[in-house]
Amino acid sequence: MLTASPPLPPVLYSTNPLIKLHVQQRYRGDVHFVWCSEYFNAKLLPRYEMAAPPSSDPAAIYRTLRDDVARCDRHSLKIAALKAGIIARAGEWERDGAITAEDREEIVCLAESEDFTLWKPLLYVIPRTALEPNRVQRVRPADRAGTAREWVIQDLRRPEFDILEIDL
Amino acid sequence: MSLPLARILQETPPDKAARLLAGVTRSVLPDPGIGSAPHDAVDVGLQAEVTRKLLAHFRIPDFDPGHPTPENPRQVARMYKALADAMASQALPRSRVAAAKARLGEKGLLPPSDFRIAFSEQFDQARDDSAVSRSSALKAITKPDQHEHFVPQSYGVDEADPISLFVRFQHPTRGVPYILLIMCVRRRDVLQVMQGWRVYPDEVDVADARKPLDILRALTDAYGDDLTVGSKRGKFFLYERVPVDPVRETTFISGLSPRFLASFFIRPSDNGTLLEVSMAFAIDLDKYTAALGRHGVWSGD
Repeated sequence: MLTASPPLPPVLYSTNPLIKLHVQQRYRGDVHFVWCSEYFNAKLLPRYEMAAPPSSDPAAIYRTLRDDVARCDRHSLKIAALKAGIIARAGEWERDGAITAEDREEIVCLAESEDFTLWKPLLYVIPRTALEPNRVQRVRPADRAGTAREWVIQDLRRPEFDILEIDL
Repeated sequence: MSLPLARILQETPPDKAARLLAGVTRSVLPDPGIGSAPHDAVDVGLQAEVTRKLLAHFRIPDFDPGHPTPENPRQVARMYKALADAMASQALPRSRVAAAKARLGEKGLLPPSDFRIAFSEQFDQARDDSAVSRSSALKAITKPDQHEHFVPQSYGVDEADPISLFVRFQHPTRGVPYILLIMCVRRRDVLQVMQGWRVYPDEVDVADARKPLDILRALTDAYGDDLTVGSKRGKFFLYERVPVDPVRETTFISGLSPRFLASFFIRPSDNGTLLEVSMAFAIDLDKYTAALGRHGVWSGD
């Protein structure tokens, strides 16, 4: 799925919902799995740049989540996908022995909460230069949402990134 | 719930159904983006068949998981919701929800609006002095601008009370903007409201405050009494174990002004040689109510 990465940008950006931060801090030993982009906002790029499509553009994801949370949109595609993914993962982690059955219940309870603020977006700003290159894995073209480069970091630690809430 | 998922839950052993539902979810999500690759052993053929039936049920014929079809996002969202509901009904049966919420409450992970709220006698008795009503406290808790849950264990104090602070910025139509600060103790999924304070930034220096705790510290700096707790003196104590002089008579608290509103969460431990302090501070009510008066708010307002 992933291949080693050639030259990397100095900073990576990733948008994640608050619930994911909670889950990874409290149930995954504060180790964070992030899907990132070298650009925060593809809309601001020159037209000849390989811009990420909205589904993997941190600014577009941020706007979508922010708007869906503000509207308490029960039909939000983004929130529905994140919720299904988190609940599925909770079960898999438990079957792997990484978390307990009580942990799984708590994660599901959070994901099922009626409180939309759990889905509010957070922007992770990740100074890539502080990370060993082999921890930043380039996503294979077949797994990307578009033509732009994307990366995955499977073991990001909390001191290695900053979290921003922004007005867009 | 969609037909194929209902049948899976009814006809398949729970563990197999859980793996199957997780596999189907994985196959229809662009990428959950939350964790390592799964190792669940699933019947690939069955998973593909269920996925096909699911897509047909929700009328999403040309679905590409990497690029969810933008023409029918509502149908795709409904499918995700059906999967989430089916997995959740297995992973967290209704009979276990209350216990899970209680644990999340104690850990400080429950979202503010999921807590039940109870007002303490202390809050009600202090309302005239604090000029904080139940309704404004309730709003600050359920719709805070910021909140902070303290987990005693992370301070190395196991038996202490888990405290939560809530902050809401108030912009009254008449009068000076202020910060409403509410202090609660968490008991499972219940927030017991203990105290509320108005903090006026033109008098209380909150310029460096980043969290609700910083605002409470600024309030105690401005209007707090110096306290002696056990053998230690200060204006504000948070999750500390304070030694007590074993020879002299134990003084838990001293140094208070004639009219004060205190917040003491203190327990003796280790045969009385230590005090386990969750939080301790005391606000001089004469100073505080004078500040209210300077802002056009009088005790009892």
